Amino acid sequence: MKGKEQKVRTYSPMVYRLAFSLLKNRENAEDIHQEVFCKYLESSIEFDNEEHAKAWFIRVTVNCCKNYWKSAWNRKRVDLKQENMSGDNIGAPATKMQAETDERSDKVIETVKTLPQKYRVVVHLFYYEDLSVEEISHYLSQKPSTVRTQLTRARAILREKLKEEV
Amino acid sequence: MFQDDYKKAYEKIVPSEECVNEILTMVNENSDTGNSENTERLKRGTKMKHGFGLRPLVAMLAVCVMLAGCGITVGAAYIPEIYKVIERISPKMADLFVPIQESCVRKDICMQVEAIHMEGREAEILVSFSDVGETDLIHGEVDLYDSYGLSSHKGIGTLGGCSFLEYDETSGKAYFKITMIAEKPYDKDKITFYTKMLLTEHSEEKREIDLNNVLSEVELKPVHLTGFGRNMPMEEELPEHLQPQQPQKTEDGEMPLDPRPVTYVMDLGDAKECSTDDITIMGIAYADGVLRLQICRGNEENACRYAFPYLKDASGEERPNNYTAGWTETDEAGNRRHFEEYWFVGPFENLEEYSLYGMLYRIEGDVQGDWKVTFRLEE
Repeated sequence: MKGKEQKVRTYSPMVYRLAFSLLKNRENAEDIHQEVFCKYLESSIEFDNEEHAKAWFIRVTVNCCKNYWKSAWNRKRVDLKQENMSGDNIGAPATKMQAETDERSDKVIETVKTLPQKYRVVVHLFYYEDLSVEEISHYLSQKPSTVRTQLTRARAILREKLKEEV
Repeated sequence: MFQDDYKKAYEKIVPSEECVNEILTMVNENSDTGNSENTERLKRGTKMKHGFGLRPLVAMLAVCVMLAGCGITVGAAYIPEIYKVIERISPKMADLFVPIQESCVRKDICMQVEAIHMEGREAEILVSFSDVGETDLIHGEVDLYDSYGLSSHKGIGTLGGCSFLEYDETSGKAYFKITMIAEKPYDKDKITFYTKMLLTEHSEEKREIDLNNVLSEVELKPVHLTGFGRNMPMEEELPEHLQPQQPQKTEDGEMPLDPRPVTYVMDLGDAKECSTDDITIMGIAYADGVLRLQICRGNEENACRYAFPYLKDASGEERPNNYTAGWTETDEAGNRRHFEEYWFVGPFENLEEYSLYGMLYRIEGDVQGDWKVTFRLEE
């Protein structure tokens, strides 16, 4: 069980962040997070290495999010509450510079949230998880050219909205 | 720059300790209890998580959502049971409905408008009923009959039909789909759905009515209407010879004693011949392009009985009657009987190719509640 516990600790933040980037709020990210790890604990999968484990968790998280969106109920509703990216437990920013950084981060995240779902996943994996286009295409079972196109289009939208180079 | 900002923002997005600990507990229990038992426990845990079971109230309140295009708040992060019901029946249908989830409790029964789909003059409403007190009235037998309506605060006339979807034993909810057509497009701003009565106990019988005994000639008699209904859109003109007429003044120019509109129905004999405590098929005739079916519902002081007739053609297509005229007759002994005549407007070139059926309902228990839910819809 040590191995499984270690995997939970290692991949928990990644799964949660990826789910959050796709579903845009903490409650749904928590649900997906739990669902992914339930699947993991139910399965008898043995990972060859960390790359294999990472690929498995990314793929299962994306699939769980897709299933979530299949429900008509989830497609129709939008959040009333704006998620506070600074988090409730972070506390007040210590300095003016910190406050400006938080504001800047919030703006970036809010802008990324406006992207279509298929663009958000590649943006998150590319910019947060530092994965290459080839790796993303492998994890998402898509052609590299498709991922590249999605990334290019997402960048164009972000450039337009953020008025800066992405 | 963008990547730095993005990373900084996402570094703060981490699962709660509680959430991770819950999974770690499962991992440890897995090693203690063995795989199969643990798998079941995990499945139960997942199910609870997606429902309201484990979620603290504060979290439920925090994730109220605004529905797309509607200013209506509902719980998030779970899928309402009604959507599972609709998706089971027709995923295509589920795509059209907008969740409402507004409710009203009367007489220990909760009516919840679950979702609605409106397009022009037509509206489909998904409604559920459930017991919220100690009563046990809502079950698979519950029915709305025709005691419901949808108003848009502008007095638009509507007609409609109601179909029972299913009774969910887990939630104790009985689900219905109501279809309504208004005489003009609904004002989507503010809408009220109401139900005045619930039939909690009833029996139903489908009866085939023999079309071999259709009369081709029949005497008509005038009756004062107690009710007049139509299953046709309002702009469909009622044929002139079927239109109810306002009673004429007497030769002396005085108002008639009975001011109710008059229409002509089949004169099929003495009312004494039909039962006062059951439904009786009185007769059927086809003349002037109209197929008429007359029934007697008996005396309804202590009971309610209804009939819903429909024609089925050779291809199996069904159509209800176009109009219904209702009146009462009292015999010499003072026994009152309720009558209805159902009109199917033709022409029907080959009547022998049709079958006529009647769904006969006998009401054995009801709850008067006047449930009402008002909600807002925007374009």
